[in-house]
Amino acid sequence: MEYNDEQKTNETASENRGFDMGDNNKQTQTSCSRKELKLPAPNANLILIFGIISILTACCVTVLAPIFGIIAIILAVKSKKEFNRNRDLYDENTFEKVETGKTCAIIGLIAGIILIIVTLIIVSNLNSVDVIDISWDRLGY
Amino acid sequence: MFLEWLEHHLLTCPIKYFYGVDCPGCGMQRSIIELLKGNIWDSIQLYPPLIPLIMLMILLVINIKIHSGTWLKVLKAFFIADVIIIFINYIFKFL
Repeated sequence: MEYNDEQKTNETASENRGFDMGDNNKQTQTSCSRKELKLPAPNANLILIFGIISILTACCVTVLAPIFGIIAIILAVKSKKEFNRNRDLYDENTFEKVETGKTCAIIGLIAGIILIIVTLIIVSNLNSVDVIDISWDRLGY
Repeated sequence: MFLEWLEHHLLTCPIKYFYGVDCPGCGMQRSIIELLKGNIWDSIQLYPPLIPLIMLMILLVINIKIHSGTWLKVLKAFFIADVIIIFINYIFKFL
């Protein structure tokens, strides 16, 4: 008998839960509408652009390569700090962009530094300039 | 007309100018001109990482317009692939 009573109470509880669920759904809907009002991550697009430009500059202007990477990392750290300061203001999902930008910037920075070191090594060991020049001349600029 | 003007006004690489050695981006301008002419194979031969870099730029624009986790993952994968291609290209120039 006690068992049945428990079942009954469970049923009523589940019914109540059902009502609660409905209420919760309404609440989540309202919270979703509130989420749209939240601010995106500060400088998210800029961090992404700078992180990817870091590798482009590593190609074209080797000396400038680490600058964009460093700027992107600093901006990412700053935006993360602001997010930790007031979490309710910013939308958490937009910080994926910041993190990808940061990883891209770190990879670009490392790659740029390695490329600079490699070019310096090659420049310092210039014994076979003629061999290197062949490809340049053959292509006719 | 425009392409001819471009061909006569290429920027010289400072590393190439001062030291006589190719930098990691040497060949990109010639490759872009070949691509604008429509010779895709020539542009790949001149500078292999150009087309992946252009695709990376397109992905960057898509990521700025749309926000989604999958596109960001694709962007990151392309970025790493581009870095590897650039390194391989630069190492193979001197081998």
